[in-house]
Amino acid sequence: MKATLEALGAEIQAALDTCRTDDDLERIRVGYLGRKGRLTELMRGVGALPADDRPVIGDLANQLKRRVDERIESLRRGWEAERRAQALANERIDVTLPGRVGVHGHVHPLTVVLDEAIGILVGLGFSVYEGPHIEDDHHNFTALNIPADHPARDMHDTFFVDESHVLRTHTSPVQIRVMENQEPPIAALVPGPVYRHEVETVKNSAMFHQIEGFLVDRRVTFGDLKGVLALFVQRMFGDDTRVRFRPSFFPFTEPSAEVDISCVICRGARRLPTGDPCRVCKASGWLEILGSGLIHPEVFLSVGYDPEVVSGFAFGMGVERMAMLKYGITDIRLFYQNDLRFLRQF
Amino acid sequence: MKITLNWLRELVDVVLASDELAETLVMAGLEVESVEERRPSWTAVEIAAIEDVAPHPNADRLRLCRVRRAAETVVVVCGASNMQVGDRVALAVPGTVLPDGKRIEQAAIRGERSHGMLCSLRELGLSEDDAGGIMILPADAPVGAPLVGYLGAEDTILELSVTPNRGDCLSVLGIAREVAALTGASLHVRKSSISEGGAPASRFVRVDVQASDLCPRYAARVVRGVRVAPSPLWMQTRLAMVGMRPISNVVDATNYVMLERGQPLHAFDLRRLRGACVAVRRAGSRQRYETLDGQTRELAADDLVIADAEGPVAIAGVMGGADSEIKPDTVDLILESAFFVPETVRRSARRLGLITESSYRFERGVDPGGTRFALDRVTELIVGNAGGQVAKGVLEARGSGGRPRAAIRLRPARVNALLGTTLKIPEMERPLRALGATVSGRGPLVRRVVPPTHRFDLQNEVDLIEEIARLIGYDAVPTSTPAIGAGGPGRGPIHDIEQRLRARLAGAGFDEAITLAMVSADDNRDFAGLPELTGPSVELTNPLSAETAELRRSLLPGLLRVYAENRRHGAAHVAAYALGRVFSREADRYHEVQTLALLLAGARPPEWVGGTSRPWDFFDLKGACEAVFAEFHIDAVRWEALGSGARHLHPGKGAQIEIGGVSCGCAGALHPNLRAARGFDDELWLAELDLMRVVQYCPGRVIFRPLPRFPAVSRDVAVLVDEQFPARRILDAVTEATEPLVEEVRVFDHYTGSPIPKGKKSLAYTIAYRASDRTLTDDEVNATHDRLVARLVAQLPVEVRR
Ligand SMILES: [Zn+2]
Repeated sequence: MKATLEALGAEIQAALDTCRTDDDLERIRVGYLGRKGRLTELMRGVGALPADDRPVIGDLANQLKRRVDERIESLRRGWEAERRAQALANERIDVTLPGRVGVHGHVHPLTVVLDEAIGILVGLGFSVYEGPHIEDDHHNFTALNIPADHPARDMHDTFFVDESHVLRTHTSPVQIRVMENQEPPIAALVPGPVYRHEVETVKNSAMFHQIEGFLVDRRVTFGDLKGVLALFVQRMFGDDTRVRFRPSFFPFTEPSAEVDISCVICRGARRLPTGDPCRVCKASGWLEILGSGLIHPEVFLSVGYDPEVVSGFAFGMGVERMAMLKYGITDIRLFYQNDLRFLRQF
Repeated sequence: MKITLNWLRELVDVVLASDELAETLVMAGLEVESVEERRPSWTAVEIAAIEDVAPHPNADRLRLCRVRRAAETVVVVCGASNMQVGDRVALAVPGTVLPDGKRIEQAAIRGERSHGMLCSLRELGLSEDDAGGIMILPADAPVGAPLVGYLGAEDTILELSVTPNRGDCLSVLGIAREVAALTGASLHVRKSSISEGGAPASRFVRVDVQASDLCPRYAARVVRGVRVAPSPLWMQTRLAMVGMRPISNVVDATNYVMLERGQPLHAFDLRRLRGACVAVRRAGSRQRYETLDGQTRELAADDLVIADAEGPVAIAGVMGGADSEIKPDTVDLILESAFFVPETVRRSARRLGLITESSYRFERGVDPGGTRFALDRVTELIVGNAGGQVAKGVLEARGSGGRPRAAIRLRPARVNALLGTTLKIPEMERPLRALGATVSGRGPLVRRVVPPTHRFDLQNEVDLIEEIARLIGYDAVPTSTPAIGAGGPGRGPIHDIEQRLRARLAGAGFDEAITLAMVSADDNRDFAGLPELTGPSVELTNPLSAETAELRRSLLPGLLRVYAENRRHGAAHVAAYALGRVFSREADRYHEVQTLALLLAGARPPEWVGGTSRPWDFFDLKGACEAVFAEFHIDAVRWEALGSGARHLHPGKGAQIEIGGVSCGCAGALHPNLRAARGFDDELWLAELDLMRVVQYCPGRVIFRPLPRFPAVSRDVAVLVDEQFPARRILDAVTEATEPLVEEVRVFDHYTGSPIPKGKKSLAYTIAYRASDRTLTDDEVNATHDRLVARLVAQLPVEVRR
């Protein structure tokens, strides 16, 4: 019996040594270890052996079965690891093919710039307010110290809707509306479209966007105006942006200031690295970016504030101009043509 | 406005280089648009005198001119024949480069040596036409002197843009005053010297200012016996440099003084005035009148005019009339210098559409104290250039403008409070005095400031504060950072909503378009917009074109243009949205609604490489709208078949979108008629939503629902229905059954085609059952499900498919 067992062991060994496939391996397992396998049969015969032989032979048979099991398992694992390694060596995705996102939408560049400016100013403590686009003459002009028959109206080429209503020519009428509705302190921010009666050109559009901000409180100074706007332009255009304030004229502010920033293209050097004069700033090193000033006492009087008690500043800027400077766009009409090849760049 | 540096230097010492001067002016609020150096190439051209003219021995058309230079006499061959012995001419000596690049060489012309060339105006770039041969200079032109200097042709032109409040800066003198105040340089404005003679002016004409409310000051002089001719070349050159066309010695002098002193002036031909009188009055009635530009204009009754005995001869401050204008045969003049009230000039100029150099200055204000000063200056120039005799006396009328100006109270403490500065009182007084104001008063509290008459813009304290800041320089005002303690909505609900919306729609593949608010009347007719816009469209009184004549009722025409443009550029598909206001006129007010519009057109791009694309369809559009509703947690949305609900949409392929029973917009395919009219190939899917109405259904805050503890069990039911049967009727019926165990019901299949009979469709639903306190048994679920299905079959025209 022992010899039979040893012979079977050698036979199995030999079969496994030459075995190369999973199928062969399974056949060998079933042939020897299956329910009708030869080793199984042999082990079933152990019970019929004399009692003295039984433990020794039984032990030997069990050892053989364990060895065969282990061998089969090890072969299987080895082959599998080999297959995985091979697969690992061969499986390759072309990662340069496009992703399966399908369609991908874009926010308009004017919105991008508008949102950025709003974000900065809200962070500084300003709140967003809105007003009508069809505005009455009082809010758009008179209350802002632009009386009828005043040359300052020339600064506003106006679309009229009827004798007393216009398309707002600036966001400033919302200043009046906000002040009419609440008491200081006010820190307000007014974004939105405005309209000018101008034929469309590279520089002009009959509709464009402004952001207006104003602060009214006791003891607001011209120095405060300078401080807030310097902070704003540095956040908007970068920390190394220099800013300068020049006297100007707006009927609803006094003193009025035009605010220039160092040119975003030549960084104020007036010339490009190539030595050519910078065309964006016309070689001045500065770019006009916004208008501002202390709110005119007449404006306060028109909303029933006492200019002896409160003071404030206001500023306004063109969103298109900021976007053009930021992205190097030279034709304002692109914003309104909505060419997808343009929109999808932002 | 243009001025030249040499002109400025005649009135003030300019020590700065031109670019420094420009910088100084810019930082004082006078924007310098450009600085142009005029450096003629022909600086070597000099003034010479003709000593002899002889025929050229070898050419009939040429002459040999012997001309005298500073130290020698030379012979020049010349093709012109308009010179005589003694004439002063322009000699280009060898080496001169003419504006056209031609270099003058010493050369033999048909065998005769020529030592240069005698130039015409055109050859020197001073004139366009070449009539009259070579240039003949006045007899007193200094022989040997460079022509450039004699003509003033070498100069620097500054183009300034002057803000509307600074009418006083619309002249060389105005800028000179600024330069003086900014740099401390001294002004030198010479008093004009006039010698009067003969009969008094009042003998020739009577001045009668009837409308003294509109014309507070009027001054006139009479000059007799002038000879009208071209102005001296230096004046022509200078006028041309600042962009004014030379006309004649009389008219040029009035323009020259206007540019120099800022006072518009007018010269009338005395003999052409009827009745020897000049009245300043309102036109009185509507009448027609020919201005000197040759056009007939209609005057309104309250236009201020200058009239003779029979009618208007000028629109005050705007333009003179053709009848009394200076002509070559004019010999006697009336010169007018006046102060007209700015508003009256502005009104007339606007109404007549006639904006002249004169009206531009009057409506911004001229110096009421400078009327006489400018009158004498122009008289001096005219007598110098055109001869004549100045009649004795000035015909003058003075209204209330003659009163001295009231002082303005200036509180030094207020200056520092507004500017945020710590200026001492003398530091405030100094700039005001530099402007020519008188400052009086002592002590720390108040100063009384009287500005000079030309600074009529300085009316109150804050005007003075601005001037102080301007002259000390805005850079000198210290920067501070205020503590902003105002409350407020921060970013605010509208901007917050729009920002979330944009993010959602970008994720859904939509590009944002910003379109013009102005559309055509046809656009508004075809796209009437949201149901709440019941009133008429808002028309513009002064549209730029018929395409932009009205304010949009709908964002869709704008989006259609986006579609058409991009398809023209070859875009395979367009998925775009716009956010913006739409407008209508409702009863007694204008109505503005913030609206969202979506457009889908063309082929939906394949999901991935090698996939197939399909046209966008209604359910893509609906999905995008649902994404918007989901963003705001709005679930009470119902999509109802459109029918005839919106004229711009296909009645069978569109829906009315209702939230809480209120229509908030509609969505569907562009109506085939409109599609055909616009020549669109694609089916276009459009939606428009009243954004504010939509977000009003947005729950204030989201409240957490506890997660279910027991599993749900699902059962499906498939039904055979008519093709027209709306899928939602089953959903509604399930909801109406109010079975407590039903958690959710949804459509999961929609099928037509074999084996479903024609005209029918199959719909399949899955219903989820759940109890919150136990796990449901199969029996419980089956009983409920069977009851529900039986109810559907009983209530609705459906046949259950097994
Ligand atoms: Zn630059």
